[in-house]
Amino acid sequence: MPRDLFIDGVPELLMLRLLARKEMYGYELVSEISKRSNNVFTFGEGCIYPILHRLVRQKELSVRKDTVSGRSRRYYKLTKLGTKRLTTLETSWSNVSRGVESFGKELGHAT
Amino acid sequence: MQPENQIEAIRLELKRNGIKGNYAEDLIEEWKDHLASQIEELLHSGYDEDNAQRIAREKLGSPNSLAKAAKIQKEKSSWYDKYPLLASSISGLLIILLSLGSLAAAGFYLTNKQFAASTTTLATSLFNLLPWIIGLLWLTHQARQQLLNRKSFACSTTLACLFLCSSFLKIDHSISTNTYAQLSFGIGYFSFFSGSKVFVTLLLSLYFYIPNRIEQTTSH
Repeated sequence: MPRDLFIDGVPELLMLRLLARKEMYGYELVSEISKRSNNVFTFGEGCIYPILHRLVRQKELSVRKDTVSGRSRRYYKLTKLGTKRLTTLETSWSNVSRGVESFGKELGHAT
Repeated sequence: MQPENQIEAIRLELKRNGIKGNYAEDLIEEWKDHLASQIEELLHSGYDEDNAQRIAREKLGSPNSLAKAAKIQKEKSSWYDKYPLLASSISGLLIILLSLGSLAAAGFYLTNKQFAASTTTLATSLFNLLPWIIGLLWLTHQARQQLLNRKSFACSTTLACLFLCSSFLKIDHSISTNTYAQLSFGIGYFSFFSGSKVFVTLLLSLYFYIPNRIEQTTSH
């Protein structure tokens, strides 16, 4: 399991999941995460951009620039490498979920 | 605090955390767009301007937390991404050493083998192209990665042109005989051929650098 899964692995996983469906820009991503998670994930919205830029540097995302209403906007898309990264994170996450679930069950039997 | 002041505060905080160059500017552009989009949405939902700006600022995060997030993500990057100027200088130096080394080896080989003058002339021209080709690949990589800002990139292109477009292996015609040609090693003159190499180098470097920097404008 990657050591960073609990630090920024969750926002990264959510972003990659959304970007696997379609090309999106930052604000759109944040709004979608917030809507779909019923505001469970309340990390500082601006903090997702440094993660997006790192993923671009790692070639896991590709970026396209556009100008909308006079403002510069970047649209992100998942690359082949990003799809691999998403699979890894999905596997790690389901392992964590299974681990926590089985841990809870064990405790339930003990009491 | 107005959105412009918030952006200025973020810029200062980034600087304090050692985040500068393209990375900082690109992030600031994104945060600007995020703030503006959020304010627009809140105004649309019926909030007054002051409240919309306040909520948007709070949701974006404090300048300190944003700068820290940028720093953390930068630290996760490769060494090349973290110190682009230093890394490209070192890689440039290695390219020069590699080019000179390969030319020296080629020069010794040609001298020892004592080929016919015409063969030596042809081989010399081909070997003189080696540093240029290696350098072009290096420059193209720099341009595509967009790691350096404009000034640094212009500087590395100029140095590449100065170095790579010179000839290093020279045939000394004064010593050459009918059968063999004498090779010498040193920085050659700028001929028409060197000029063409400079032209192609500049063209290719701009071709790979500029499209990434130009924003595609669409009307919305």
